Amino acid sequence: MADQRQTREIRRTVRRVKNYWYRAGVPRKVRRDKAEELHAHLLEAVNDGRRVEDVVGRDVAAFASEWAQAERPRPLLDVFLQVVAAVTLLPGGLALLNPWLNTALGQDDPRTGLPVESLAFLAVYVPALVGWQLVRVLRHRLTTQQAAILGVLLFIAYAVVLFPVTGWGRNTDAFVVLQPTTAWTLVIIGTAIQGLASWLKRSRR
Amino acid sequence: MSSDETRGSRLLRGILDACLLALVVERDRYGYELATALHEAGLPIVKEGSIYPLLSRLERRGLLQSYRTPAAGGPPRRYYRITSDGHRELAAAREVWSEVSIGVDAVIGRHTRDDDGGPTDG
Repeated sequence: MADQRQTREIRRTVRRVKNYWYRAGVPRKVRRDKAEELHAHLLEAVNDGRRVEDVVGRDVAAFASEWAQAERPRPLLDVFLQVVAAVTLLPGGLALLNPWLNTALGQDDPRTGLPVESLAFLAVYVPALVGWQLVRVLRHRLTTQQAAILGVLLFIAYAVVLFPVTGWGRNTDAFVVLQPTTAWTLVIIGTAIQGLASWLKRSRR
Repeated sequence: MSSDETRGSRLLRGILDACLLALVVERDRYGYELATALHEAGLPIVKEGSIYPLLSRLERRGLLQSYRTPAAGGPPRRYYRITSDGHRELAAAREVWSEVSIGVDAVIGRHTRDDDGGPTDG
């Protein structure tokens, strides 16, 4: 059986490996599962008279790095493409839907574009989406302190964008006219970028 | 680490995934069991944890599947089982290894015979 010193060493090693994975961007569930697997292995190895070093080698960071690479953290490019796709698709889609929505709501406004409700939705949704994706991608690569600073900065940026846009919309009954050709172009570009992101993801498997 | 160990590890790097598949094809196994089996077979694995990145890659490629099982008196274990793609990959790897090992034996064996017998004059 592993004695107290060995148990401490095992815990310390697993924690170091997990911290490395966290910074390398390995997803949380994978980190938890693999850390559990490593912990079980180390425990069994020590119980059989082997050392922690026999399992992970002398360089724990190199060991963790090799494993992290095998787990393939989500690349920044995927997130960037998905955000761009959403930011392009949403306004185009909403603009095209506007005449249909108006008809459904019994209003007589056949214009293709973004009424104040759509603008308010975009003002809330797009920065929230971008912020959330940024946090998702970067939180693995940042220390707790850096992540907290990022969170505060995003919140400030969000407030700076949100309040003026919604205030302006409420006061002016704004409507951004988008020509159907422009709206369709946005939708097509967004769909193509989303398709590219999905294809990249599949091709890496 | 001795230079023999390093050479052994380097040589093993390209074929270790096939060794893991060959062990898992016998029966479902977990990481520690695989490492022990490789040690017992006399394979020069410098650090036994190095099998885990390979297991992850094999799982990602769909050659292995893993599942978690509670273990008596210890933390749960993650067992690996081979898939049909894994069977195909192993068959292909066995074929390649057979060809390569015959070729390497022929070359290295020939040099050993030359060294043993000294230079041959015509």
